[in-house]
Amino acid sequence: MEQTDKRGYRGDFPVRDEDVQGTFKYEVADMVGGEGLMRCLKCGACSGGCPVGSVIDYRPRKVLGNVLLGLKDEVLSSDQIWLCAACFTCEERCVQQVNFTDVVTVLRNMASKEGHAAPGYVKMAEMVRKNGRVSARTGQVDKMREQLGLPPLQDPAVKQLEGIMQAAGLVEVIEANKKKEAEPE
Amino acid sequence: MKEYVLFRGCIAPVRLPAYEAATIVVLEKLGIEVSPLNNANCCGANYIESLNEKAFLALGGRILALAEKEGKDILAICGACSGSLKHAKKLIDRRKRVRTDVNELLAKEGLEYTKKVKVKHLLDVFEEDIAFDTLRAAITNQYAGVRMAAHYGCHLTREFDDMNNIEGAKPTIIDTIIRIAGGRPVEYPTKGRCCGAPILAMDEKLAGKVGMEKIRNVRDAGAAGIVTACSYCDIQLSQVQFGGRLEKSRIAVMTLPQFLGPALGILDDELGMHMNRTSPSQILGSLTGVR
Repeated sequence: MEQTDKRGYRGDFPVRDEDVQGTFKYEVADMVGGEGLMRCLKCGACSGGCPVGSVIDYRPRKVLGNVLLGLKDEVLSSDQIWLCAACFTCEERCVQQVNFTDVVTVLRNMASKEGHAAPGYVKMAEMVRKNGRVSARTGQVDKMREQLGLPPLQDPAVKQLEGIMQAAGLVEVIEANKKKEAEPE
Repeated sequence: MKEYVLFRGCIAPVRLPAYEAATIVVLEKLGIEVSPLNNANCCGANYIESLNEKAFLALGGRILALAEKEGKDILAICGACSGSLKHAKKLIDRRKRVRTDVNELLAKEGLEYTKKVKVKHLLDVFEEDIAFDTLRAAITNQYAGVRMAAHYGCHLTREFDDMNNIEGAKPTIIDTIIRIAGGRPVEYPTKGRCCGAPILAMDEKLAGKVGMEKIRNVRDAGAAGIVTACSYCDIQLSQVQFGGRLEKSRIAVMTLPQFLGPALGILDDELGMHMNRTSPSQILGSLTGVR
């Protein structure tokens, strides 16, 4: 379902004890980029300026609140961490330097490891792995470049990329997420 | 003369080659030399970064190391690229452990990154390397007051990462350039807002809504066009106007060097003007002088 057709996710209360993992926030705060989480005052300045929140019921404060509360499974398996546009408006507004975008990156990395990466993101990462860039080369592109007097497109170092992606563990993450997608719900 | 290696990114050379061409010819005219960064890879912004930050840092580190080998600073024209390279540089520069990890992954190719190279976006070059007087003196064909809306990409001008816009000041550079070229910069609500492009991989309809809100505000402000400085923003703000219900009058979207080029006496063909999806003819029609 498209996000714009969804009703708000306000119906997910009350929170039950068994959904709470108290140590989750420390796990996140321990990662590079996650440090700001513990400074959050839940003031809501982030939600107020969010461009995604202006269109759908999306609230960065709610994401932070869920992490601080310890709703690990819900945070890591739902769409909420994948809807951030990484526009940094909230980081600019935040008085506490929580750096929401960086916290989201940490959460996305965690979710990806567990096979919960958003399919659109996995597709793009695969595209980079295969073509070395997020969009494919076509004959028309070559013609346009020639017309503009630009040099022909270069080899985007696909072989070197594959080596780096393997060694860094990205290939494993991509494969794990593809497997997860193939599984029936 | 200032010299840069141009990191084209992966979107511009394929989907927006006119931006790449216009950047090179405009900068040349203003005394900045640009050479290509060969054998470069995707910077990994957003997609790779979200799945595995270690791979993202290594991809960014590889680009930084390649530029270091050339002995020149990096010029990026895409907001996502410049933002992610600056971010990767910050993380790699500040933490020795990260640097060791990255260099280990690069060692197979005989590459090493040692913190030397700087990353600049096209807007940084206009801000830091080209004096406004130089730009003023180079204008041969002023626009006769055409109303233009500046769109600042989030990753170029936002205050974050203490690498960009440290004072958190409202960006003005595109507006200033519009004025110097003879145009009239317009204010509009949501001026500093995201174009919606980063959400495309997640939900196209949602991304379109964010983008269209901006287009409507620009139109209501009476602007003839939008000036962009990021490959993603430019493509997104053009394409949202073609989706679904046909918009009656499309707002012309053009990159900063494409807008500035004609005022510097550069021919439309060299700027790839005919490749734009939205017609810039109303804007070009306001140019004065012999063309």
